[in-house]
Amino acid sequence: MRPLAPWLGIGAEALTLLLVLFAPTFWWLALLLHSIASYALAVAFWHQLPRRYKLPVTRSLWFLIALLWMLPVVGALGLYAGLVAGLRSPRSRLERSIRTITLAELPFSPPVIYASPPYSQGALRQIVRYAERPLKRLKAVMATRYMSAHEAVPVWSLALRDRVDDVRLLAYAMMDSAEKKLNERITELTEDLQEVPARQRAPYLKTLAALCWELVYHNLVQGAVRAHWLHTARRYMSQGLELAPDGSSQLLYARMLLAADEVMAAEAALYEAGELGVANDVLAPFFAEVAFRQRRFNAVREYLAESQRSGELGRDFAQVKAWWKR
Amino acid sequence: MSKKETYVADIALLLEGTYPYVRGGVSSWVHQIISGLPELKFAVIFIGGEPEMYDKAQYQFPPNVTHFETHFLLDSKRYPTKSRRGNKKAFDEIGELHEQMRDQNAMPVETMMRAFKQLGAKNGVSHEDFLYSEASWDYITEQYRSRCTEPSFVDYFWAIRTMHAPLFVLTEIAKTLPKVKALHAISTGYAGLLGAMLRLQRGTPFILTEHGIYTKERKIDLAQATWIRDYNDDVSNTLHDEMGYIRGLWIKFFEQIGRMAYAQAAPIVSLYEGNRLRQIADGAPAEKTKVITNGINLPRYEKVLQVRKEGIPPVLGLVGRVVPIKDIKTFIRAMRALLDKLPEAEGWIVGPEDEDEDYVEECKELVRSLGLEGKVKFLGFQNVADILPQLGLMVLTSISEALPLVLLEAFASGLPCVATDVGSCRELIEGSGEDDRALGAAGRVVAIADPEATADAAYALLSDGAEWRAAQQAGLQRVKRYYDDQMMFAAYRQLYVDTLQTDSAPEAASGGR
Repeated sequence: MRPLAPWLGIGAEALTLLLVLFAPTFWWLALLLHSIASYALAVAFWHQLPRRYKLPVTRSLWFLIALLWMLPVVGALGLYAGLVAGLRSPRSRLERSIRTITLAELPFSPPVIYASPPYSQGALRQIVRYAERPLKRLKAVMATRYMSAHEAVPVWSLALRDRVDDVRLLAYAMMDSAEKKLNERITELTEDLQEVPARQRAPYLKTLAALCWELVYHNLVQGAVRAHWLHTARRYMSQGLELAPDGSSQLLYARMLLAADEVMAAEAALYEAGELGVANDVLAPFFAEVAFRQRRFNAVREYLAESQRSGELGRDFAQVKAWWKR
Repeated sequence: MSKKETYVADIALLLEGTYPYVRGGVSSWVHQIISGLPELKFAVIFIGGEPEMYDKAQYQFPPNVTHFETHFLLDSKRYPTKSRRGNKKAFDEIGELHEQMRDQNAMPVETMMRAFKQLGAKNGVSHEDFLYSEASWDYITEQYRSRCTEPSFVDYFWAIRTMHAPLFVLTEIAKTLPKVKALHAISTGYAGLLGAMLRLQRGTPFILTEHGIYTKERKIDLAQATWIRDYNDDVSNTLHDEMGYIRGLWIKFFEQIGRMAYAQAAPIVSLYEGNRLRQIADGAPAEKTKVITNGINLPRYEKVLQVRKEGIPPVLGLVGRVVPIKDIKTFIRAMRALLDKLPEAEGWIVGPEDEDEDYVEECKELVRSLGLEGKVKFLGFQNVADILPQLGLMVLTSISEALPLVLLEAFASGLPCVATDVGSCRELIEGSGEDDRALGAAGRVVAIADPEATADAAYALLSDGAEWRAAQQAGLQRVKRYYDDQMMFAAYRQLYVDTLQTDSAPEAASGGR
C-alpha cells in the first residue's frame, strides 16, 4: 500500500475533479472517490512525517484524513507544502522555547582547593563537646562521613554521650556501620577459609588478621572485645607468617604485639621484619617506640635520627618525637 | 428527628507497622489498652509497608475489637501505563500546599483541607494522574528545575513518586473507613497523617499517642540510608555536613507530615516528660500535649516474685525483639567483658527473632566470633513470667527507647536493671521527682554502646548482694507507686470519655507551630 498510496490518491482525486466538473449527477461517486483519495494521500503523507509527529498513530492519521477530506485538491497541495515539508525542515532557533538563565558572577579569585579537608578531628571533637546548639553538634558528627574510621572514632565516641538523642543515634549508626562492614568481611573470609586448600591459606589468614587488626587500630572495639580481636588478629597473622613469611606482614605482626603490650616479642618481630627486607627507616619509628617503652631513651634518639619520616605515623609517636627533639 | 448514626467502633486505632502483626513494644501496649478498656469498642486499622514484610497476626483480638483492616502502602494498584492530561488546576493547588509546607511557621487548615480533597479525587489528582499525567510530569519537572540541587533527574523523579504514592493509599483508606466515634494514632508518620486527613474530612476527634518519636527515628534512618545516593562536591572547601537534596527532601517530608498530625490531634500524649518536650520542639502545640506513663499488671508479677529463689543467679537477661534498635551486639560484647570477671555468668536473649533476620544472624555470628557459644543463648519468644524468676539482672542496651515496659516488669518481679541512658530509663531506674528518687536506685544507668561500662555495672550489682537487694526493693516500690496499669487505664478511660464528648466539628484553624 505504501508505495502505491500517493499515486492512488492523486488518481482518485483527479477522477473526483473530473466528475465534479463534467458529471455532477454522479456526486455520490465523486464523494466516494474523494474519500478514497483522502485516505490514500493521508497514508502517503503520514509516512513522510517526522517520527515524533506520527504518534499516536490513530490520532495523527485521522487528523490528516480530516484535513484532506474537508479541503479537496487544495487541501492535499497545502498540506504537503505547509505541513509535511514544513515539519521536516529544521526550525529556526527563535521558535524554540528559550529559558534564560543568568550566569552567576565569577568570584574575583579562584576558590582555594585544599589537598585535605580543612577541618580536623580535633575541631569536630571540640564542636561535639562544647557547641550549645544540637544542630551544630549533629553537623559535626555528619562531617565525619568523609573521614577515615580511625579519625572519626574519637568524634563518634564523644557524640555517643551527647544529651540529645539525634546526635547520639547518628554517631551510633555511623560507628555501627563501620564496624559492621569489617565484621561482615571477617565472617565471609572465615567461612571461605574452611574451603581454601592448604597451600593457598596464607593470604587468607593475613587478610583476616589485617581486618581484625583494623577493628583494634580504629578503636572500634574496646576492653575485653578489643583484647579478643587483637588476640584473633595475632593468631591469624602468626599462622599466615608460618606458611609464607613476608616483611610487611611481619611488621604488622610487630605492631599487633606492641598494641598487646608485648614489647620484647614486638622487638623480635621487628628484627625479623628487617631480615625479610623492610627498610630501616620504616622500622625505625617502631624500634623507637619499643625503646621508649623499655625506657632506653638514648636508643630512642638514635632511632629517631634514623627515621626520615615526619610525625605522620600517629599522634602518640609525633608527640614523643616533638618532645624528644626539643 | 435525626437518623441514628451507626458506628463500627468507638475508637479506631491507627497503627503503623505494629499491632497485630509485630510482637512486643508498642503492640503489647495496644493489646493491653484494648484488653484493659473492655467497655469500649475498638477498630484496628493496620498500615504496613509491603505485604511480604508481615507474617500472620501475632495477637488474638479481645472481644471488644469490632473492626479490623489491613492496608499496605507500597502495594498500590497497578494502573495501565496510559498517558493522560491531568488536572493542572489541582496540581497548582498541591503546589500551593507545598509552598505552605516550606514555610514551617504556618500551615493554614483550609489549604490542607483543599489539598486532601484533591488527593485521589477524579476531578482532582487521582492516583493515575499522579503516575501518568502530563500535568504531573510538568509539575515534577518544574519543581526539579527550580529546586533540586542534584544532577540526577531520575533519582529526583523516583524519590517523588515513592514518597507520594502512599498518600493515595491513605486517601483510599480514609474514603472507605466505616464510621467511628474517635481516632487514635499511636505514632505520627503515615498513621498520624491518616488521622489528620480523617479529622479534616469527617471532623472525627483525633488523639495522638507517641511512644518513641517517629520523626526522630526516621531522620536517623534516612541520614544513614544507603538507598539514597548523595552527590558530593569533592573539591569544595566547605564542611561536609550537609545532606544531599534528596535525603533532605525525605527528612523534610516526615517532619512535615509529623507537623500536620500535631496540628490536628488533641490531645497529644507522650509517655514521659522528655518526649513531651521533644514533641513541642517538633511543632506540637504545648497546650495540647500531656504525659500518660505506661503501667503493668502488678498482681501478675507478684506471682512471679513469689517463685523467685533465694540468691542471685548470675544470669543476665535481655528481653526484647532482636532488632538493631535494641543494640543486642553491645549486650553480647558486654558478656565477653563480664565473663573475664565472672566466668559463671550467662546472657539470655529472650525475644522474637523474625523481624530482622539479617541482624539476628549478625548477632549469632558475633557470639561465635567472640567465642561465647554456650554463654550467650538466644531463647526466642518466651513467656516473660517464666523467664524473669531465673534471671539475676535485667539488661537493656537499647539505643532508643521511650518507656520500656520490660523494666517495669523486671522491677515488679524483683529484678534490678542495668539500662542505657535513653528515653525514660534514667527516670525509671533512679526516679524522677524528689519522692521518687528517695526510693533509691533500682539498678544502674550506663551510656549507649559501651560494653565495658555495661559489664562493670552488671558485675557491681551481681557481686554485691547488699546493692542488689537495695535495688530490688527500690524497683518494687517504684513500680507499685507509679506504674500500675490501673492508673494508665483510668487515664486513658478519662481521655476517651472527654474526647467522645467533644464537639466533632472540624477545628476552625490550626497552625503547625
